[in-house]
Amino acid sequence: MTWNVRTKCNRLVMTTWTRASMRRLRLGAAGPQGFTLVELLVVIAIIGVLVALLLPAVQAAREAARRAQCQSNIKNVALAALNYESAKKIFPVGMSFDAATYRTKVHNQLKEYGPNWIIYLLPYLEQQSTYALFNLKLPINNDGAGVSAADTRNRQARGTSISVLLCPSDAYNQVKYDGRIAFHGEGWARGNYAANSGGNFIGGGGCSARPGETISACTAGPEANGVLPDDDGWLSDYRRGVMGPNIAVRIQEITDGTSKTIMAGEVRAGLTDKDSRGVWAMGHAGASLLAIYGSGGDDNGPNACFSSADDVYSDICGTDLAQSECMDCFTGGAADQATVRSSHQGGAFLAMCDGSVNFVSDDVETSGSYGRWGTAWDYMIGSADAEATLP
Amino acid sequence: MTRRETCRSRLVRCVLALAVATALSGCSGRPDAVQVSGTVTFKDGSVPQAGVRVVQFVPAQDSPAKIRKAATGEIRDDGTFVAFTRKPGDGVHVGKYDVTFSVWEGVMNSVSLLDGKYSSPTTTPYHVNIEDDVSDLVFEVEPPAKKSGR
Repeated sequence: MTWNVRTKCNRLVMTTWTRASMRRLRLGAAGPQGFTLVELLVVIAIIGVLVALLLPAVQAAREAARRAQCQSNIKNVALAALNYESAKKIFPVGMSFDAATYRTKVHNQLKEYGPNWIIYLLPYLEQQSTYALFNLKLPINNDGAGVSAADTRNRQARGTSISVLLCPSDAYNQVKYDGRIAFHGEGWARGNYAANSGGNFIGGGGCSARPGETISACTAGPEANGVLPDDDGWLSDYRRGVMGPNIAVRIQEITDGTSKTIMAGEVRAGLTDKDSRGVWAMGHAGASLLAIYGSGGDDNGPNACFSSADDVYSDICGTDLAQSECMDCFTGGAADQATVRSSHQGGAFLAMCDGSVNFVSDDVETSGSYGRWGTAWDYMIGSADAEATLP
Repeated sequence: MTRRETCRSRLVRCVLALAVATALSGCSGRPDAVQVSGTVTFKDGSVPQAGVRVVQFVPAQDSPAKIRKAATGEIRDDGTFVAFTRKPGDGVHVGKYDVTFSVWEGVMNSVSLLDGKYSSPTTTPYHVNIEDDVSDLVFEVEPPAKKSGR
C-alpha cells in the first residue's frame, strides 16, 4: 500500500522535472540545448538510489515466494505419505535393504539400495510414470560399479527431477549426485525432503544403547527400564521415528500425537556432485532420511553447525566450505546420521504426522552436542514418547 | 498543486523515517549473548583422552534466558573449550546454566569415562550464571567411582 503511494509520487516528481526541461528546450533561442551534465547526473543518482532501495525488497519478495513453494511442496509430500498410510495401513519404510547381508554394515557398506519411501510414494505424488520406470527387483543403484547388470532403467528413473520434491530456496539442488562411492552409480536427481527415521544411528551403534550402557543421553526410554532394543533403536519408544530402515509405523502407533511428531523435514542438497545429501531416490541418512538428529549425538537440532555434524557420503567433510555453510560432516565415510537443514533464514519446515507443516526455529530447545535426551526437539522426533520424562 | 505538495512532504517524511530507522538499528542496548570459554580437566590436571569430549551449558529451570537452547563446547587436547549455541562464535545467551559433560570412549562406542553425576543437570556439581564475557571457567571432573560389573 505504502509502496504504491511512493511510486506514484516518484512518477509525479519525474514528470514535473521532464516537463520543465522540455519547456526550456523549446524556448531556447538558437539550436537545441539539451540537458546539462549536472541534470543528467542528478537523475541518474536518483534512479540509482531508488533501485538500491527497491532491490532488497524485490529479493525478499522472491525469497518469500520460493519459501511458500517450499512449504507447499513438503505439505504435498506429507499428504502423499498419509494417503499411502490410509491405503496400506502402514507408512512406507524409509529405506530398504537385504537385512541378512547388510544387518551390521548398512551404515558404511550398503551396496544394493532397495526402494526408499519417496519411491513408494511416487504414485501418490502424480508420478506414476517415474514409478513405472523403476525396476524395483533390481537395486536402485543397479548400474553402479560391481553392483548388477547394465539395466539402466533405474538410473534413468532416479535421475528424474521432480519439482514437488525440490525446495526452490536451495541453490544447490540442480547439480545431480554422481556417486561419492563407485557402487552408488551416477546421475541421481536431488530432493529436499527427508523422512524421520528416529533418534538413532541407521545401523545401530552409539546411542542405540547396548546392554550395560549407562549413558543417559542414550538410554532414556525403555532401555533404562531394562528393556533393550535389538533393532537399531527402533524398539525404544523415545527414539523410534516414523519411517526407518526396513521398518515403519502405523498411524495408531504414533502414540504421542500425530501433530507432535515429525514425519519429514527439509534437507539441503549436497554442495558438490559428490555430496550425497538431498537425493530423493536414495534411502540413506542425509539423502532422504533424518537420523539421530536429537540428543545423544553431534547433529542435534535443525541446521546443526557442530564440526562433523552429519555422517553422510560427501567429499567436503571437514573442509572450510562445509563449516562455513553449516554443512560439516564426519570424515569417516559412514552414512548414518543427518539432521534437518534448510536455506531459509532462521529455521526450517517440518511436516508433522497429521499432515500439518510448521516452521521450526533454529533456536528450538535442544541439548547441544552429545547432550542429554529430553528436550522439546527430542519429543518431536520420538513417535511414542508421550509419557517420557527423565528422572 | 496541493496533491503534489502532500506527495513531496510524504517523500521527505519517508526519507527521514528511513534515516532514523537505520541510525537506531545500529545501537540496540546490551547484547543477549556473550563469549564463554575455559578449561576442563581431571582433578590431577590431566585432560581426558576420549573420542567424544564435550561440555554442555544446559539452561537451568529458573534461567531468565528466552532461548532455551543448550550451548556446547568441544574440549580440545589441551583441555580448553569455547562454548557456542548455534554457530561457532555466537556465544552463550545470558542466563543461568547447569554444566554437564559428555566424555565417551568413542562416537559409536558411547561408554562414559566420567562419573555419572556429570551427565545430568540435576546431579552435576557445576552451575554458572553467565552475565558477561568470561574466559577463565575451570571445571574439574572425576572418572567413575568404581567400575560397575556387567
